[in-house]
Amino acid sequence: MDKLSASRIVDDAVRMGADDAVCQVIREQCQQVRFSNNEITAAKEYNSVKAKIFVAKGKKKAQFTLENVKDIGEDLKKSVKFLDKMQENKDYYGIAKGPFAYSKRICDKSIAEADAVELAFRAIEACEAQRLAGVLYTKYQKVDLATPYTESEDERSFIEISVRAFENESSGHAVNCSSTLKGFNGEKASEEASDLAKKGVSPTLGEKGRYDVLFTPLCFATLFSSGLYSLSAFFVDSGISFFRDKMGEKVASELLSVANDGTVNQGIYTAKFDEEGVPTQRTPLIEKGVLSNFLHNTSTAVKFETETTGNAGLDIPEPQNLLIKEGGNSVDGLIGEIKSGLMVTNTWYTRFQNYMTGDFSTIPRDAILRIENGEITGSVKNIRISDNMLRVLENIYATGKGTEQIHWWECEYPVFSPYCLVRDVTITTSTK
Amino acid sequence: MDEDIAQLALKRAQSDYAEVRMEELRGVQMVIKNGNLDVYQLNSAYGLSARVLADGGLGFASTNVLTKENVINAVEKAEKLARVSAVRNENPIGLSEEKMYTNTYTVPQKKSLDDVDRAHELLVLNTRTASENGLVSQLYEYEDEQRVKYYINSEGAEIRSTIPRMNLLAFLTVVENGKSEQCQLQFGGIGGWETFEGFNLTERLPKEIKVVNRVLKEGKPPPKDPVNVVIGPEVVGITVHESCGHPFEADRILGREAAQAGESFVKPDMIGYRVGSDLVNIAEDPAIEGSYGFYLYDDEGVKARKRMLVKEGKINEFLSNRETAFVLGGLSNGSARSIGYNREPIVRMANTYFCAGDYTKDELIEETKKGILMESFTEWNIDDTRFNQRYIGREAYLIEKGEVTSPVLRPVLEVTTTGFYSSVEAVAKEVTLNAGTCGKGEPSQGAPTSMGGPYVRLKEIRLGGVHG
Repeated sequence: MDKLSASRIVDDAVRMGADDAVCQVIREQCQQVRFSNNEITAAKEYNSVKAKIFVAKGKKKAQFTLENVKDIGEDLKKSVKFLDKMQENKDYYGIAKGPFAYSKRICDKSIAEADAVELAFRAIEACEAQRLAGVLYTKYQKVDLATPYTESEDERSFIEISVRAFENESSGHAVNCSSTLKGFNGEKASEEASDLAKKGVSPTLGEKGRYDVLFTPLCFATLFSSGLYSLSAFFVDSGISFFRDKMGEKVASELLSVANDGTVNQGIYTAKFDEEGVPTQRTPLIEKGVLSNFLHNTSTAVKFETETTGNAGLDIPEPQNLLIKEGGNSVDGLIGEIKSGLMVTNTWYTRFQNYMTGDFSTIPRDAILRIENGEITGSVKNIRISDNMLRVLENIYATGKGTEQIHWWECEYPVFSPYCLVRDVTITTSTK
Repeated sequence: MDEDIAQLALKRAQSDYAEVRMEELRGVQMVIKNGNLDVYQLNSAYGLSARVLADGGLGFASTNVLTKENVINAVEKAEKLARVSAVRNENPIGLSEEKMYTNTYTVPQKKSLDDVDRAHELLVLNTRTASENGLVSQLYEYEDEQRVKYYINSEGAEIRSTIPRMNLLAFLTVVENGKSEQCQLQFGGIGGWETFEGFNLTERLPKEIKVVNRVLKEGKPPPKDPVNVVIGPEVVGITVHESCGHPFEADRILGREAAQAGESFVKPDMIGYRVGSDLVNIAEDPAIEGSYGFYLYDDEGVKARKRMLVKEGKINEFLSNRETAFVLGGLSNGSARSIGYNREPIVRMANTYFCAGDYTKDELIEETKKGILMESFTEWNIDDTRFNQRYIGREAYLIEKGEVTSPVLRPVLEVTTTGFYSSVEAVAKEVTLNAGTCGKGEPSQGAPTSMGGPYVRLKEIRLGGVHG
């Protein structure tokens, strides 16, 4: 199995008649420890070796994932042959031709051997609330990539913890994500979650209306990630992005600048290259509120008459790490700005009524703190944010100093986010 | 499938309990975007996992490198993880005692999926739908799989199953008079291509587009005062899935999913607690023939059976696996499911439905002086204890003096769970199920489920909402 060679598979595909081929051989070692009520409920390890293969002939393309390598020769032959009878993809314009120069990057391999159970125990012991639930995850991946134009290998690893602390009816959520074992601090996440749980005790029923809302980094990153599809050229081309037809226009407050960065050292999704072998890069997406780029692979870039941003997804461009620019305000300063509002510390179940317009609702969970005259005066529960994504981005009127890397169950891609203060957010509640 | 390697793994297990699940899957995934075949992926998976209980800890390890050495390593790793993780647990994990079975079952395909040019069929569907007025975007995501599973455990279970399954998500955007609306429609089932043909999409999709177009053209604002609301099977289905199925999952009730999908407003001692009117009966049944959530044995080897979650408005039964049944002091009701060999089985729904009453749909409407009929929904969500939920109507109409009149634009049903079920005042006879992919677990396990019910009338609901 371990003799799988990406370049040999690509050579074979071309010899069989493919014009283009990409093969990634991915060897992965993951650990996961799940815990709840201060006890470990399951400890797991996943190991796999997979080949992800892309073949194209003219305007026809297909991908396949192979786990049973005994069949690889036969499957490759069938796939290349299958291209002849399949339908064309008029939006396919080939893969990146290279040659490419790749930067060296460091991968912390020690993450693969980390004592995940012990690290989870430490987080549980650091909990200052009544009980803690969560998950600790480590991932080490070795990727060998080959195309007819380039060949490279990459090692990627990260460790992350997502914890939720409970104090009576209240809860707090925090994460800690790191690309190095040394930089990881599960206890800190546990303490932060405990602190929020304690601040949120004895919540009263929230009331509908318009509020100034201070989103914590965890909450803003989670909300922002649910709208990320709108920055992928694929969904823009599908006509369902709320950023469609807005390139070069103001789409958010001038305080909002967002970039995708596949190279940033701390980013847990940092990679040497994308799925076409294009070196990753930093791409500004929104600059001072103005939409400046979408995420592209080679095909979407040709269609949009621009350059790839190193974000293939061979089929659908996708982000690596999202960086939201920090502001200059302290958290206390941001709270001090609010006469009557809320600090929302987490949200989930964001759903769009209309992907094209950005109408959505989402349900704040964990501590929701009431702010009156610049001070936290209590907490509320049972509210829903029912608004429009473009309106929320436009109504950002202050951002915090520093960012936190957020990645968890409800935040699919890592987002570095500061605190964000948004004016006039619409809150609704159940009517019966 | 090399069953010998799975048996070797089980034999090597030294723990209190061990199970080995081996799966082989082949399938296709496609995305058609406005008539273009954008994505064509051939998916495959082949591997096994070992899950063991040792010293009160639960360990799990998976691999797709199926050499003797590797599978033995996986078993040993799972046992080591179980023992190490149990050291500081005050409450040892256990499994309920269950009857075990040996069986083999296969869901047949009348028209083999492999014999059909599925991309061609979807492109034809796209072409036939394209001419509908107001339709500006079509996005279809199709996926099928043929999954062969071999399950054995140290208590004598040996289950072989083969289930072909397919799923289509149609995402249609309609623009009329400068306003837009989107339909997200899911169709899923088991069997061969005959199941897909049974979805009858060449008729259903154009009809859906016409309906949305009319709502955009003629839709009136929803009433502001409380009114009676008749909801169709699609809305009833999502409601029972979200606000009954999920909060009745025993792992949520016990806090095992707290950091991800959340907990539940239902507590372990709430069997017999009233959540709705006497007319509320909600069932769960994995064994419904042809259903999208179909299975006969769960992923712990327990035989599937019908579960009555709510009987005459009162909580009757939770969804349990062996781990939660051990804690709660009962038996598993066959709710353990996993979506792949490399995922642990957790408590899941299968097919959840509101049980039939004795009304007809017409009677529900005829008795309503002022109200709305909400046939379908777009946006929806619910809080993580499953108590505050919201569904926004896609196809909805006013009911005036017992008759359906004008379309209504985006009525918002935003209510609590007990507020919803205690408002049920009449239930129709005919139950319809719709497919859905249920999200839960970490790593995420999107599970095929179905959900539905008959038409149901709710009394005196104040509609909420801000969109539109």
